Amino acid sequence: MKYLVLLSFLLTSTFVNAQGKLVFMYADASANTSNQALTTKLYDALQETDSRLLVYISNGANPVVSTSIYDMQNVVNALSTLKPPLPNVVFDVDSINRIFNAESSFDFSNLSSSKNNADDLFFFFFFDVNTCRLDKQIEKIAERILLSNRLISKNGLNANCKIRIYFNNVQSEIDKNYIRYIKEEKGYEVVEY
Amino acid sequence: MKLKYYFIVLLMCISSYSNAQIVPSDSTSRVINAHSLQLISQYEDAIQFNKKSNFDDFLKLFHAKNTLVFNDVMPHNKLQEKVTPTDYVQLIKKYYTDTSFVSVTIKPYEVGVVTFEGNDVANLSILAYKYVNSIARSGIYYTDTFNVRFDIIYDFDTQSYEIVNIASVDRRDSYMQVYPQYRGFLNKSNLKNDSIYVNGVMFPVNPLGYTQLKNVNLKSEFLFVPYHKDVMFKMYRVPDNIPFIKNKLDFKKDKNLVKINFWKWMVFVDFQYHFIPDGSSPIKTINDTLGVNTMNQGSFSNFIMLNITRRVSNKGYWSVKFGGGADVFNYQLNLASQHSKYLAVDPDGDTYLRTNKVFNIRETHNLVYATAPLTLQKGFTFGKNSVYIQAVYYLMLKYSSSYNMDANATYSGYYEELFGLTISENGVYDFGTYDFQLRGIPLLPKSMVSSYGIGIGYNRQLSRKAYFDFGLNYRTSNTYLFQEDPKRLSDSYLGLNSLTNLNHQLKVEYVNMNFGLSIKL
Repeated sequence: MKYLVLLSFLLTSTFVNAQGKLVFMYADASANTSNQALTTKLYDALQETDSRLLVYISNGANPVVSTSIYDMQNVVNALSTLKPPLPNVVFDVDSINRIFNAESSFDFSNLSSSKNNADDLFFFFFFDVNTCRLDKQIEKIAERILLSNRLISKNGLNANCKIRIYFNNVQSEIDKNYIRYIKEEKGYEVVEY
Repeated sequence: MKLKYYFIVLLMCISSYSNAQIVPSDSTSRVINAHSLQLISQYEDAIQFNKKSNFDDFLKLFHAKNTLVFNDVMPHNKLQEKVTPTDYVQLIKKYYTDTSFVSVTIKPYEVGVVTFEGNDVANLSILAYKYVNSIARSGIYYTDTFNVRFDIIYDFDTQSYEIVNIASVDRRDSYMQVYPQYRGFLNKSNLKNDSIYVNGVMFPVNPLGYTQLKNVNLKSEFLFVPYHKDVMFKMYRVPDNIPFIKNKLDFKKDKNLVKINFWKWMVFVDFQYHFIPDGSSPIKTINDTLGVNTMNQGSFSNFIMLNITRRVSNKGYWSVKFGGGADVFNYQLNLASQHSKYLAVDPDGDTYLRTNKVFNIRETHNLVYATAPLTLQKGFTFGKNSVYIQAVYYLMLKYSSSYNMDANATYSGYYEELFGLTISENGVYDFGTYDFQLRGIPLLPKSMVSSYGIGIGYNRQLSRKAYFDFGLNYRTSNTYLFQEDPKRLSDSYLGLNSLTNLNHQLKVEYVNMNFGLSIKL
């Protein structure tokens, strides 16, 4: 059944959503008891891509990485057995940038700072809300990736970029206040799951 | 596709665990960027200074000992300076204790382009906001956001990232911690959780009773106004006119703290000198039929007064002043000549018509009054300057009075019964011509006289406590200075009477200039 869903998704994403969009996904699964919900949300997020993507599941020195929607099954399989530690921020950001260097799709040097539909970039981050708040993962991971790629400047986020934060385990009032802060102060799109 | 996946993982492992050398190229810029951002993060951790070991961690972040960094140690209040990291640490130790609350958050907002110097060195700059929230050793809160630029160098050989410069992007000026107070005669109260205006901009006063001003030029002038406009304060230059408090507050000691007193009432001691120009006269003769000409000869008044001032509006104040002093009226009465004829009896018992001619009369009065002025003044303040109008009542008590007189006199007698003989030669009775130079003759002024005046003036604040005052006053009285004592100017060569015996209707009336100095108590 899972393979049928995946197959149908791949067909849909390939022939319906091919709109020149590049997707980067980063996930911290360290706080998850099960990665089922994360897997589902990863597939949801894949709706945005035209097959050019990079999925990075933080897992210490052995991250799960995929650069193709056709390779997502490996990610799903890995997630089903994975129990990752807390992200090593330096390692993860460094690794991601090195992958960007190796992937021509992620060469942002010629990216226009003004809005250009051809250059839509989606950055999706999957965090546990509590861990994210305590470890400042948005600043230390998400924004650091964007800053190091000069996609954030004093004028704000590059007009062709879109950031969406997926938060897991949103329960307490503190969590909700934090999400409100992320939405209102930083202006990022937030999805709870 | 799997091959690609394994290739990437392999690449990462090689780069992470084999100290993969970064080579100069545009594609590696983002890796250098990321490591530089990590360096900023280390700086953020090390600068919290809540444990001593952080100082060493902090110093290791810098390229050299003589690296210059932006001096944002707020209590030190020299943001224009740059210091070495070691000096920076010393300043932190000086102004903060090990247990001081210091919260520093660095938020990078732009990463510059990496530039390469050959194959050895890469440089880049990172712009960031530095949010600092702290309580200094003095107990005073200091909080600010700095827009800073970190210049970072990457050495390809040592693979080390180091800070070579920290600079403020914005031009920063000084801090001033303002501690406002209401002051009454005997009491004072602070303005916790209230607000004040500083040069028209409102600032909230924190629960401890002070507010932190940022980017102030300490040589400029500030108008402090409480939000609740019971009183107004004048313009001040800081710190010339308002000293920075040093240990004046029992719970604080901070050189950046300035105490501003909003006085509901202000009390001054006024010293006033009134000057009457010689061309005018302090005295005016009423109903003068003789043609007396009056001329001032150095009249003046000196007063010391208690000045109680209350500011009542944005630009206005009322003052009541009372005190004591002296009016010294020195003036000369000039009369060309005065004749009098009357029937007289000579020593031999013969009746004759006597003629007394007094001419070239110069009578100089010296009147000294102990005077108590009562002044009501309405002022309008414009920064350090004020203009005012005032009304004054003077109660004058005679202290001393005398006159000098210089004149020539001719006495003659007409004897109708002696064939109309007129005798005017000296040697016959008291007839003849005489010169008079009388000195220190007592006058008969009234013992108490009232006068009143109106005036306009200009007032300028010289310092925190001193004000200079200049004005013009018109002063007059509706009572005469002298008692009525009708006498002829002269009856014989034995002496002359005062012109006031001919006309006692002399009153105070003049325009004077006044110069004053007010000292705030």
